[in-house]
Amino acid sequence: MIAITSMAGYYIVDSDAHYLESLPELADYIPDNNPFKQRFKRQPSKMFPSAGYPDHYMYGRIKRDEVGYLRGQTVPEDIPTAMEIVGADVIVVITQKMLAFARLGGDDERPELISNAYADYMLDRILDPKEGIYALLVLPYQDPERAVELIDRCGSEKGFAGACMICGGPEPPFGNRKYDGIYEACQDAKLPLVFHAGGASLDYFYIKGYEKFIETHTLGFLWSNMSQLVSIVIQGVAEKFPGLKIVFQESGILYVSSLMARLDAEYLKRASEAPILTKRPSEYMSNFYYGTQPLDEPKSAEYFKSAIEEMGGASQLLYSSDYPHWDYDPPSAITSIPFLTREEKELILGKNAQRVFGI
Amino acid sequence: MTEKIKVCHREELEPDSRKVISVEKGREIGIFNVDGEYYAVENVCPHRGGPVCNGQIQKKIKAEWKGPGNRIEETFSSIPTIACPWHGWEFKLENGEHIGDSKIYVKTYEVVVEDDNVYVIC
Repeated sequence: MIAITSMAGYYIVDSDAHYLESLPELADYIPDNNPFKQRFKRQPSKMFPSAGYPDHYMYGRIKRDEVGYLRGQTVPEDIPTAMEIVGADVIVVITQKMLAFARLGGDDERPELISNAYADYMLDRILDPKEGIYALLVLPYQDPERAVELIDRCGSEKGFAGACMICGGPEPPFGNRKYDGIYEACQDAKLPLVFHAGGASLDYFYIKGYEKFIETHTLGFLWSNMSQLVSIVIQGVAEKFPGLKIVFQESGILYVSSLMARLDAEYLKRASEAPILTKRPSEYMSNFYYGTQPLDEPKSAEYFKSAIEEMGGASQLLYSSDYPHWDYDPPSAITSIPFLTREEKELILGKNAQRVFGI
Repeated sequence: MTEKIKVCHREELEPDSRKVISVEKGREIGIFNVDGEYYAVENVCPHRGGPVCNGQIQKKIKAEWKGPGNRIEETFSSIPTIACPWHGWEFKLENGEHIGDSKIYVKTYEVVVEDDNVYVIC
């Protein structure tokens, strides 16, 4: 039984913390007769380029003992420590490496191999629902049939709280019928599907000439999630798969209300281009769930409050730390929001995630 | 208080034609013959006040999805709509409802044909 130990008696579910997997260790879970096994062991950095240029840590000026990946990777023993630092009773960890999925060129086996190896590594070394340790099943969206096989193989494992697709450059975008099988499989397996902003989208803006991390970090995350939200909503994923629980992680939350208004305005002008929709885009979006990190810091509390109401209210928000990244949010980011009631804070910090993920 | 206003002789409003008439205080109403059915709509779009009755008429597009992996197939229904030429807000001619949000509507009127003349009740 997990004790309620967190701040001020709140039961805290961290719906998004990161795990930097070691590719050589994951390669242990790749079949021996697959040549990629040795490639991942010998040349991991070449096989899976990292994303996010230039420096997250402001050239050494952001320096905290508890952030970053000090060992160069996460090890299983780091998870309880992370939970203690964040103050989480339950943690849902998400891949670090695969955030760069969109940077993988070539139509080879890497996405499915790493997704499957990661799932087996997580099952073998990390997942421990009794201790509140969960992960997401990261799907190789590049090969939807392989993704469905992974859902069939591992989706019922209690330690996987949901499945995950990395935003930030999938082509075609996630509203395309190519991904229907994934959505159907998640719906049938009652697996919530988390769309997580991808680090590769930061680099996109850098490559195009943006100079500073403040620019790429701002635009990359927003573009990552907004571009997929637009595709998913307008192409009717929620209409086609009404039982699918959809979560978007790691772009803050205020972009949601502005995108709702933008999409509604477009829809009223061009509804005939989205004939599968039976209501305004915002009405679908207010049924999705949104991770809170990195929490926006608007000047006006009144504006913040009304924006949350627009996106469906406190019932749609999931506290997420993004630990151990440099801009991780502790639970106090939520408890310090002045207009939220105690009950709303409880929902955001834990109860919503328990309901959505069934944990 | 409603008024019955003569629009024109029936032969002046052939199928696929329209007339926009002025009624009191500069108010305009468009009367349409679509496939032999008459419709009347106020010529003010609730969006920005555009001349909605000058817009193009087509049948509402409907979507059919035959399951995972299939394209969403788009075909025309039997419901006539008109799209405001300013921004595309599109309304069902039969009741004035916006096709994307039925809470938004353009005002519609009853059309009657008596003694080979077309009238609008407004």
